[in-house]
Amino acid sequence: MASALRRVVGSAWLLTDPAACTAYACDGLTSWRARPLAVVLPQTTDETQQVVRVLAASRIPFVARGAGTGLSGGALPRADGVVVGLSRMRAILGVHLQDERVTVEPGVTNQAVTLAVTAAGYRYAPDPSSQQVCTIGGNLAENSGGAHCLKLGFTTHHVTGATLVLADGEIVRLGGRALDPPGFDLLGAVVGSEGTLGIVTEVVLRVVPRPAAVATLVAAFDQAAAAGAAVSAIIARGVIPAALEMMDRTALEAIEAAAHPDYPPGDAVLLIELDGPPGRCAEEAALVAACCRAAGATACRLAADGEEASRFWRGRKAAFAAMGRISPHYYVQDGVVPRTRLPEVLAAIRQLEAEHGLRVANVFHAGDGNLHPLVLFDGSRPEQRRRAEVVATRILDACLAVGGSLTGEHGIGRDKLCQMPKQFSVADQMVMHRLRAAFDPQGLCNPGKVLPTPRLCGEGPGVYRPHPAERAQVAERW
Amino acid sequence: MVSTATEIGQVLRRAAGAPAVRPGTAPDRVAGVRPLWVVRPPGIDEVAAALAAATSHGWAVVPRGSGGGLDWGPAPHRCDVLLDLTGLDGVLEHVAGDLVVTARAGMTVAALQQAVGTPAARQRLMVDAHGRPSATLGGLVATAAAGPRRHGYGTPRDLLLGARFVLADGTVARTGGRVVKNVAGYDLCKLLVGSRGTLAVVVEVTLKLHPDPAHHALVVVDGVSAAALPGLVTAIRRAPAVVTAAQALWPERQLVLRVEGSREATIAEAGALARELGGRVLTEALGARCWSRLLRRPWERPGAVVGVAVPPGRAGELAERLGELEGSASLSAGLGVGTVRVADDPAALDRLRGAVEQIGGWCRAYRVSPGGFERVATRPEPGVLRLMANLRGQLDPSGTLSPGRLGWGLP
Repeated sequence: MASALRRVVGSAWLLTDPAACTAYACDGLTSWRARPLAVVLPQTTDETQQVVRVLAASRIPFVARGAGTGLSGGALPRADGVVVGLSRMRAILGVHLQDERVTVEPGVTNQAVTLAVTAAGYRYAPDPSSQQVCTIGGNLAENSGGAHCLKLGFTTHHVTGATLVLADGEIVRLGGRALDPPGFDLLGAVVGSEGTLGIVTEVVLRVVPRPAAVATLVAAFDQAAAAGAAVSAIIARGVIPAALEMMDRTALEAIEAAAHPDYPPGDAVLLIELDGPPGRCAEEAALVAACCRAAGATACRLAADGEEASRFWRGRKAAFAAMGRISPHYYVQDGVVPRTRLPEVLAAIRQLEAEHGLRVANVFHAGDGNLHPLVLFDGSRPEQRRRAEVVATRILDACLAVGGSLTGEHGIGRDKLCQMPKQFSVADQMVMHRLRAAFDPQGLCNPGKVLPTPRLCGEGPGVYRPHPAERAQVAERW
Repeated sequence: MVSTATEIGQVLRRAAGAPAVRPGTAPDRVAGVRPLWVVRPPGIDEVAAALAAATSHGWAVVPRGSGGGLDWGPAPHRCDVLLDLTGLDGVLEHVAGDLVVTARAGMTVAALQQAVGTPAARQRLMVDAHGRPSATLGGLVATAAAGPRRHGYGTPRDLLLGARFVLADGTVARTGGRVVKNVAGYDLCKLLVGSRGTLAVVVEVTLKLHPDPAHHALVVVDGVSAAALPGLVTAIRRAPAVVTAAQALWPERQLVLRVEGSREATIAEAGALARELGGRVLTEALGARCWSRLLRRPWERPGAVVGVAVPPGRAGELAERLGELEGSASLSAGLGVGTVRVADDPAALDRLRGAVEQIGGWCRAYRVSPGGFERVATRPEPGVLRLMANLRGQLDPSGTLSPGRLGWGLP
């Protein structure tokens, strides 16, 4: 197998040395690890096809990997499998501004797409916090979101075409620069499939013009529940902000110490960005301010200029890095609730804090109900670590109890595999298994992810450890 | 297994209840194929029981909503049972604060708009549904029906958050959820949208709503040349206005833009847009007439109606070719999608597909005569066809649901 792969990519691009392979043993979720048999780094669609053919012939499972910033163990390899790294495929193949499209290889970073069209006044809308390093291939696999997805949608709304290498090596082109390709919307199924339906080797993305005007506000509240109520009120008033983020007291404590964003004091702060034509932007900013005050905001401040706006955002963006100032370790959760249920779920989290004697910091995409609670604990005390895991799991249970979801943007991966039955019935999962089998009947493409099996589900979830990219401060996590 | 019509009727009555079953008549035909029986189940259990019975006996079932898009595409190979879903009616849950509604699939778009558009909620499902308010929600999903406002709000693909569906063997399952952001598990919603009743029967849908704008205005630009179209589209994209529809009409050479929002913002933005593009703002009365005409336009005259999509920057090239194609078009100019009407004859259909594919786009058949489908619809590439067949094989291995309706030799 190794010599066949070497013939395809050349000896420089096949790693079999255990030390080298160890670097690929995990993604951003470092608690799950497995050293793969080998790591192969193809440079073209053609090479990827040949690699997959070699692997399929020997029935060796494989997982595609981009920058490895995923947070659910989606790129976790198997000890008896191979990692297909796509980091060498990082060319921007074409910028077609008349069509509002950019064609890229999967290893291109999210931010590179925006940079390629910035001068022309465009941007690529999905903006996961790891956008400086995370790749488009990974974004497509995870259907990545970000703070600015409230108005413009997630990755699935911004991918119009892809070249897919199936698990048997067949190449299929899905969509293209035009919308509405003939046949089933297979691309819609592939986006967010966490690398289990094939390997994407080329992607056509939609880019959008930058807005004419932007207004940024912060509003402070005495209680997190009041901030949650303001979120619902804003949405119900018919305003869809570009971004609507929330930080609670514990998070603010860390943020103020680290980044000095100068937010008005309170137990919860909303950061709201509106964009559009200047007149409308001002109109909506006034409406949003009124909603916040009616919900009990103690202060509401509109950024006077771009500088103040970036200071407001700096606080939000520093949140996770700042958490180290108030806790040695934390467990990250990602769950979704209907927006109107935010106040009660936030109250349930407070209750869990009291019950288990641990603090939880909340910094999250409130506008679409996507929570990112951080359960703080001291990892040197195993008993605290266990309690943190319990709290993190209970928070997800609280999300599901109000009709929410296990994950809004991090994915199921390996991490939440065994919680799938809480959200989906046996029949729901059976349909997903059949969908997977339609693409990969042998189950070679990233097996052991998304869909639980009895063999895989008997162990507890893992605990957050910083990714090397985070430690190097080249990436943020949320 | 061969069953007589009488035997089939007996089994169906047991499965779905006697009042739900009647013999098929001429008006029940699906693209010319007359069903033996029509079943109108009162609930999901009866849908599941009827499907399970059909699959175990090897009968073919074609689901149907209002019937508006039922004749689109190839005729089914067989139709033993027409499954009329209009009995599954009503809103199950509307949480106004979440801008989300869950309803049964047989409910009409018009009824849903009424339910969510109350003075207290003032919300709307933002699909124009080809201008057919009688369309059902399940029909919207099956046909992916959109309209001019997809420029601003997308298509059913973008609005469907979750669905409950019944597989051919009677299994009831769900996909997606009731929240606006959700990446748990595979997104089967995307596959169901546009699948024309060949993968599963959708019985419940959860949809994303939008605030119903307080005001809107239409701006019309006359005398648009095909060559000027890309420039106009760029200008619209960058104009300080929230444009929710930008429809190019050919051969009228007209561009119709819709601006929505508060009264003040709409008036200001429509005025600015008209000045910038050299157009005029229509009065409210004229605007209302223009809009309803715009929605009906593709369908109101005889001829084949074909869905087209080209790379957005090349919409002008398509417009330019329409003269020689002797067609008329209504194109969402910024997206490069829309409908073209041409004579329903083989030569015209061939010419249209040739022109669209040459521009890097593709065609799908809406209203074409039998036999016209394979002429005008762009054939998916072999790998896509193989995956479609695999999906059919996985979800409906007996080929119960709408056999043959996908065309291209698929089961």
